[in-house]
Amino acid sequence: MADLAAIFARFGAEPRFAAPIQTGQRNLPPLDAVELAFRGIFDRRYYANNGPLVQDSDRDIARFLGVNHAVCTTNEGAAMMTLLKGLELSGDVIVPALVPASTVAALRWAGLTPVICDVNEQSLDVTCDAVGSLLTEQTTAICGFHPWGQAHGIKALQTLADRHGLALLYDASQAFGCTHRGRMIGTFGIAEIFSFSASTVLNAAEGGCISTDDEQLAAKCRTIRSFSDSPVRVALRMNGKMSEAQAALALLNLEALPDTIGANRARYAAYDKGLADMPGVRLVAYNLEEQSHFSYVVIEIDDVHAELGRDAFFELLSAENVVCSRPFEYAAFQTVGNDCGAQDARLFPVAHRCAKRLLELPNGQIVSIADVERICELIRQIRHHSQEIGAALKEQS
Amino acid sequence: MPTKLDDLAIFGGAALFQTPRPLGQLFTPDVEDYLPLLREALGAQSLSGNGEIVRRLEGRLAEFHGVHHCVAVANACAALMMLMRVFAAGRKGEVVIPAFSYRGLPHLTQWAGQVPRFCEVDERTHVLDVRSLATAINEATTSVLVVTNFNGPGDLDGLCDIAASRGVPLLIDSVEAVGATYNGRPLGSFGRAEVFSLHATKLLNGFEGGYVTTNDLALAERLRRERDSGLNLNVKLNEIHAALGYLSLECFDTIVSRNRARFESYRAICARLPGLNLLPYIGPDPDRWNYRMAVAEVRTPWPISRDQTVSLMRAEGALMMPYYSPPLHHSVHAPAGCVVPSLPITEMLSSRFAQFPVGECVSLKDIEKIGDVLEFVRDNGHAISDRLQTTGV
Repeated sequence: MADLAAIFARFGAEPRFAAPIQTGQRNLPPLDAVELAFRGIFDRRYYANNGPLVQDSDRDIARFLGVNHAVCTTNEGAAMMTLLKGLELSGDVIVPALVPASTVAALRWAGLTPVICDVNEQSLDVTCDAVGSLLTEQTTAICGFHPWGQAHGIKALQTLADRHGLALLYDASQAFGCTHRGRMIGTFGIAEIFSFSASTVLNAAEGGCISTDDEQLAAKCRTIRSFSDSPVRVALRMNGKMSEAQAALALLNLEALPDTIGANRARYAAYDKGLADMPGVRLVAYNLEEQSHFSYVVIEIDDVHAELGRDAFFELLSAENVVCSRPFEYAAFQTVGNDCGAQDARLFPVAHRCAKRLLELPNGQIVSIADVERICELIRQIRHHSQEIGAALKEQS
Repeated sequence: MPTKLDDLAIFGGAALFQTPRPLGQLFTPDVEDYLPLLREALGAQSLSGNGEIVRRLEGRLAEFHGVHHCVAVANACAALMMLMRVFAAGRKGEVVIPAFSYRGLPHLTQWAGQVPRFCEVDERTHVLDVRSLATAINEATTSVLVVTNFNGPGDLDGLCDIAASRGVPLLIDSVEAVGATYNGRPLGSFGRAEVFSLHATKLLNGFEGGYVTTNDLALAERLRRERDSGLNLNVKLNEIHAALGYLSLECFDTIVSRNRARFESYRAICARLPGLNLLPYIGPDPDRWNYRMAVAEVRTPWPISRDQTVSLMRAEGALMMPYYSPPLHHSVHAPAGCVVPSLPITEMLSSRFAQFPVGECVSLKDIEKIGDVLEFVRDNGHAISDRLQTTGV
């Protein structure tokens, strides 16, 4: 019988990490480059309102993605709301059960009704058949999502959308820099939106953008995101503008992207090695035939084979100062409905089941390979002692 | 100083200013003072989400405004949207707004699921008129949005009393009035909540940003939850913006004193220009006026119209702008199908005023030069007016 108190901080030992090590990329460009950029902003006294750096960001991000237009915004919520109004959508929009909560919030802010679609167990993404079964006369659009930058079945979904005269748009907030069948994500549907929050691979201190080839749509979105005079007629406008400060970071981090992805890939490989051959603990794999950012390191914990559930792993790791995240903790089905309650999770059994198994591990810029190895060792130890841990936790509760 | 009509840019002459002189505050602190805060923001390894600098800023702002709670967000528009939606409590109704005001307001009410109910303003204060408010409130009203102006806060007591007597929440957009007082207290503690901006063109520069002030604990907690939980719209203020906002707040008195010098300069100029009457500050406490804007009424005997004056000066690179024109109920910003009332005072006011270029990008020397051009217009009014007619301006 192992002495858990000697091994795990949860039961009394010293935490394995002296300071919290968190999830989220938090990528920063070199300090001197940032300072130089900000000196430029102060020299020009151009802080906001579609300044030179925002214009550069729009252009450089479009070029990177291989689309005609990128419209940068203050955050991904503003990007989605701007896009929805640019498309002049009304009625129902089908959305996967596993999406960021803010996606559903944006749909509601835009006056639309989210219709949630359960996901496929393997891909954690919706299937064409599942979406098709939910279509009604009120449906006007499908909002897809690429979990961790992994896309599936886009062609089939586009065909379905076209057949029924629906707009197909994507929340690509986790997918910057990823490809699907060799094509850059950002080029699919009528438009996609990206997030540049500090947790994503391209950090612009919040920030977001709309990516599209549609000239008219882009012109509408540019007008919607501010209240400046514009000849373009739109129904509704907001303040969704990205600032020069955010754009400065976006540009520097775009330049550094290959290095960032290289570092992510090295950490991911270390996790892959360190978590191998652990029954019940499976690292979610990236499709290596596609380009990816390798920014999300997510394990799926099967509580039967691991003999311990995801929440217990989370608890044990937290105590060691390894601060993990539970992806889709607030998934679509938990946020839609009236403001007081969520929809019944039993309506979305796959999403509900899968969400409970997922654990995101730290993979940020400041996480070293040595840190990764220590985290893997810790997980291995938890797995090794899973039965005793389970019993001890049960006793304590 | 122009000597003949052809010198004027609008008639083909060289523009007075090669680099246009704008209207926004564009406060620029010493970059050496900003960089340490920027380094701190970057070093914290968390650029967004309830960071340390945001919290410090909120604390200082709460002190500055004399309120218990300050919730900083991505921008003032988002703050207004959130508040109107909270007060609507799930209902689709109306928000009473002034028709002589900021073009964004009708849009923001719609984002909150409400329809704007345009309301008359007071002829002297340009703030929502108390008796008109009483008429505008009906069973569909979910909130009242008062806007306090750069030159004064209006009759806040009267407005709050009406709203309270009808059981309707009242919120205040005090973006342009920041720093002013009412009843001896700083703006920030009136109504259910007030909203301020940290946009670079406003008095406090935080790149983009906004904040809510309130003494209502439950409301403050609700806003924080909505902001931070990720369940609703992401309206967090990032650390980099907060850092500049913080520095700007430290420099508040300097900003105001520089504004005052520019305002006094325009005052001296307008005193020599019959028909260009600078709008005076009328808030109760002169020590607390922010001197943020210089707005002139254009009327006889000024020889050309308000819009012609604006066009003439804009051609020179002095970016004058009509003040709150067209009135919102007659503008493209009024939603299709909403009630378009007759608002004679608002409609009259919308035709009268123009803003002068102000802020950190406009020097006292620039203002003198603007004065020179305006004096030339004064002295050659008939000829200029005739020529403008001919050229169709």
